[in-house]
Amino acid sequence: MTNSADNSTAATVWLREVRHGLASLPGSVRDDILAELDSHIAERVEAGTAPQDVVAALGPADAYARAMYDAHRLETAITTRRYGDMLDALIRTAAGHGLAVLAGAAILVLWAAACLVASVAAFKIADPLHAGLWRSETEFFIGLIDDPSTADELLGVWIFPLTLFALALAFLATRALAIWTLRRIARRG
Amino acid sequence: MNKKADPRREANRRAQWNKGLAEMALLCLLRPAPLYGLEILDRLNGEAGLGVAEGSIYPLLHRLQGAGPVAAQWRAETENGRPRKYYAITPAGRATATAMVAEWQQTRARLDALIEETGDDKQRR
Repeated sequence: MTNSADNSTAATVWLREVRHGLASLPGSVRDDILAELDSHIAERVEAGTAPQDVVAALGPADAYARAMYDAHRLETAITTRRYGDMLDALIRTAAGHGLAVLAGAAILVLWAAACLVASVAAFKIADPLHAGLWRSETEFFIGLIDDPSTADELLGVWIFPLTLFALALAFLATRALAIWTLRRIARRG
Repeated sequence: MNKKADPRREANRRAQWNKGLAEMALLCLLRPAPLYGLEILDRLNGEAGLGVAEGSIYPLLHRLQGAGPVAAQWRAETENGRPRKYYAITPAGRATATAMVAEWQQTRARLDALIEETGDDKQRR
């Protein structure tokens, strides 16, 4: 085999490995990425660089595919703004970005607070006497109380609209936070 | 004694700086007209001297497409018959570029003043 044939093979093998690494992406997206890479390699070769050197400069095929895959997940999450995609992208980027960790923690806290209100509202249906927002001389809390005569219940049936409000607020606030965080990460790289 | 800088640490530090500057430089490059990936890479490394790795330009462009400052479109080229994917700056990207350049100029002016004021090692000795 000649050197030139070795070189061409190196580029073909590299592109095939990238294709394999991008197998889980939609076909049109994968073809678009590979077409751009193919064009990149062809132009470098036309300018006099050996194909083997071109793919060496692009780095290992699996690392390249992973970087493109992560970039695509990030792009999809930002453009579609689907809640699940955004959370998935945040989790995947958390390892390399402290901002994603902070945003993830804030999202967890907001949802935990909303779920607490929702669970107390659910108890309010089953046990209206013991569930609610309670205030006594020493305590102020939302939840279940053993002896309702020791504290005042402040919400009554208003806990139900409050639950809807808390869930809607958690959804909107965490969605906005996820979009903002992913945009920052996308720009920083 | 003047300790010689570790070349690997120097390169790492330069890479970190350049990574932060790459987006601003890229958006500035796209302000006059759309460019294709290879052209962007060569100009970032040639004119701006940013040392962007060959394998990191397309993931970066892909991410910027998602973030909004850049949009892409394939065009059939007449010179070699091969289609090229061109990247253009969006209105949001233009606003981002303007803000980044202003921020960079302010930072640079402050740092220049600080460096001027504190002098270098030779002057102190």
